[in-house]
Amino acid sequence: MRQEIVVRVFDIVGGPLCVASDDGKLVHDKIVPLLREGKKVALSFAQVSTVISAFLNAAIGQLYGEFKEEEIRERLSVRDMPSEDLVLLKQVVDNAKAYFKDPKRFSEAVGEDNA
Amino acid sequence: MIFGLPDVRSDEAGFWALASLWKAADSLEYGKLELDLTRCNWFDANMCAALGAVLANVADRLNAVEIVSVRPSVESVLCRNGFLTNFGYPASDDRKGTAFPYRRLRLTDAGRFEDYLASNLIGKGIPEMAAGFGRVFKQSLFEIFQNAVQHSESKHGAFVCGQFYPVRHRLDISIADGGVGIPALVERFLARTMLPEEALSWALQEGHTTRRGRLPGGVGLKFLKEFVRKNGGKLTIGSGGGYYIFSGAYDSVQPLGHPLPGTVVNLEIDTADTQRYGLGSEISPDNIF
Repeated sequence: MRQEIVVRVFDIVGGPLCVASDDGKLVHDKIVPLLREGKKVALSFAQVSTVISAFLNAAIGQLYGEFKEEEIRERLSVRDMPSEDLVLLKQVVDNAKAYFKDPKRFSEAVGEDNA
Repeated sequence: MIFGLPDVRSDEAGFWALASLWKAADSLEYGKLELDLTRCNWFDANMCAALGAVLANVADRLNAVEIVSVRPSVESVLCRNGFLTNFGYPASDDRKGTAFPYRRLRLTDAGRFEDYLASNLIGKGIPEMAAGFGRVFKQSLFEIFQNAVQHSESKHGAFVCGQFYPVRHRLDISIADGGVGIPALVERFLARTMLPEEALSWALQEGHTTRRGRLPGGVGLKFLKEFVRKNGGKLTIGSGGGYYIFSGAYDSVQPLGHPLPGTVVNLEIDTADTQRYGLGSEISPDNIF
């Protein structure tokens, strides 16, 4: 069995507040190389007091534009996340899956391909 | 110039009143605005956030702002939350512990917003919220704050103010930004002219976001609405020339007579909520992805 690498969000962000997109990107950039190498990653939200959609979109949502759903499901897991936050994460994940299936449906932008 | 402000509540008429003030002061530069509250017999304390955002924009044109003829009942409320102290009125103790003080925060300072919530959600006469509910409520407020950070382009920061009504177990809290407003952002993003209410409707659709780049978005509002629906609360948004109201039973977008500067979001919640806000049994942490 492959070893699971625990990525502690609190340590990467440097505090308990996970609200900014930029902080989410820090987490994203930390886990992407690991996922590319096929490693199993457990994202720990221990000590995180507040997490919102902007953070989760940047940290996790955009992964669906870079990896197949099956790859994410097989390699990524979350732990130490309260049930209330899991509800939000589920919404972010479902939205990201729909978005990357058809980005134009979400933007309707003239001359904007979102690519 | 002198502007007479009528009653201001957290409703469409309240937004109209503040939008009318902004329209009246539209061309005022290097002058003086005298805000006359003779006709104002009621001012919802949380709407100080919206008024603060309007007046910050007025002052930004190097106008002096004076608030006069405030009725004692209104003065009492607006001094307790600290709003009027910004206009030379004496500070007043919030003995009942029900005011969420008026604050103007930098958009770069999410930490101060966190401190603001921490010091006001607990121990100010507000009963301890059920743990899960308190967490989701705080998330909802951060969704609003962070939306201002990402989209408002405000140079004035965020304005926040609230009021707790203990007998009714109700908390009203407002966050305003005085920035560009949602309709203008949507018009720019879609590169076409739209009615303000049409543009606001577009932005309120699930998954829609004006952020460019390969990053999904538009989940925050859905999360906020689900929280409000479940709680039995109410969400109102005034932005540019559009007004939106949402409760579990009602959902409507209307035009405002004049545009507001930026966006004001009002959240009205039932603090005695003891419902569970976690995942249902049909979803497990193992099948999130």
